[in-house]
Amino acid sequence: MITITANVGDTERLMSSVGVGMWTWDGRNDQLILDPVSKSFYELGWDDKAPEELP
Amino acid sequence: MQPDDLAGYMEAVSECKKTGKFSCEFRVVKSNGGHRYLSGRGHTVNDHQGALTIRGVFIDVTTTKELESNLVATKSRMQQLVDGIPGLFSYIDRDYTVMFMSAEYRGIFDRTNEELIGIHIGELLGEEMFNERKPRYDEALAGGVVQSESSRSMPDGSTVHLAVMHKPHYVNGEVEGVITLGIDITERRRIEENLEAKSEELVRSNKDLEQFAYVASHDLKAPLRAVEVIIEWLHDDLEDYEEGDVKENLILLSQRTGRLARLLDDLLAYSRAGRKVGDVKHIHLDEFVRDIGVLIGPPEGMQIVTSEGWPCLTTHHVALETVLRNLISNAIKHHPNPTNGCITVSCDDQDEKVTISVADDGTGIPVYLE
Repeated sequence: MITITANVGDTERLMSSVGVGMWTWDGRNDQLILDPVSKSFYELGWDDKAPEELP
Repeated sequence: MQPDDLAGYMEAVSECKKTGKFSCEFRVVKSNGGHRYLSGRGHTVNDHQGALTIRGVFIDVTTTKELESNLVATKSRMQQLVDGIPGLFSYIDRDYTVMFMSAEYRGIFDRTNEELIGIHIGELLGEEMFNERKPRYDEALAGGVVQSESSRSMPDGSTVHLAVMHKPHYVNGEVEGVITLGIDITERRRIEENLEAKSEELVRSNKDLEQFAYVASHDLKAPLRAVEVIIEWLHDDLEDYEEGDVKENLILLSQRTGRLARLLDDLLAYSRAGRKVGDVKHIHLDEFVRDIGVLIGPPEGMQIVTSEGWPCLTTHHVALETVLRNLISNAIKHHPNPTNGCITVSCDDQDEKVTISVADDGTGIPVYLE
């Protein structure tokens, strides 16, 4: 089961300000964590699931 | 994700598991059916419990990809345009590295575009030719336009002559490279060589003609002079002979032989026309014109009227005589009634020139021919 959780910190704010999206693949929990910029690339809403093929 | 990119993406994931680094570019299908190009970069992080954790970034590289695509299309169009040029076209940068080359130019080296782009021009030309051309490249890199002609051996063994121009390529005011354009002038060179050969042949032919005319006039003059002498003897011997028209006929015969002698001289002058100015002689113009009239021998009833008191001239008498004889002869020849006509030769002496006019009382020149 892949879930999406919010991860907004100072680094993410800086990266998002220059259009860079950040992500983390948590293999232990099968979680792909996308920041808002990355989600916008996939045109995903806040509660949408990430596509399973993503790392 | 665009389905076509999935295989490459999964391969990048597998690679990440081995190397610890994730790198992949892929397309995302947007809701409007278009594509967004993403560049993903990441790396594994330590996980003491053995699970795979990757952290990374996505960057939207759609604009870059579109620019790259446009650049490729532009380069392709430019390559096709340049390949259509009937000549050799190349571009090298400041390090003499080949950045661009037309198909015809590539044909000389028998290499593909991929094999040529990015290599030093010296590798293609060879050390000797490169050293010969380097000063021209350097002059163009210094901002000058260099034009030259050269010859080159082609793969099929033929030799091609080229008119070559090296021109600097400026970017923001700085010379970034050299554009070289070579136009095949082999055909032009061949025509020039043929023209030169024909010109030499013409000179030789003219010499032969002059020699022939000289020999012919010389060889014919000797027997003609003998005839003139015989006529003089007959004239002396028949001085007291009054019967018939013998005396008049002898005079006519003398005039005709004199005319023939002149024609032989003219033949020689004609052979030299356009190449030699000819002799200059001091003449009394009125006597000169009258002599021409006598030599022409107009038919009975056709008068050639001149006047006296014309100036003396120092001129090319052969050419002048030829012109006047032709004008008077034509006036007689084309007169509607040659046995009852009049040709008037007049002279207008001005300060710096003399105008000689030949007029006849014939039908004149039709208006449409004037």
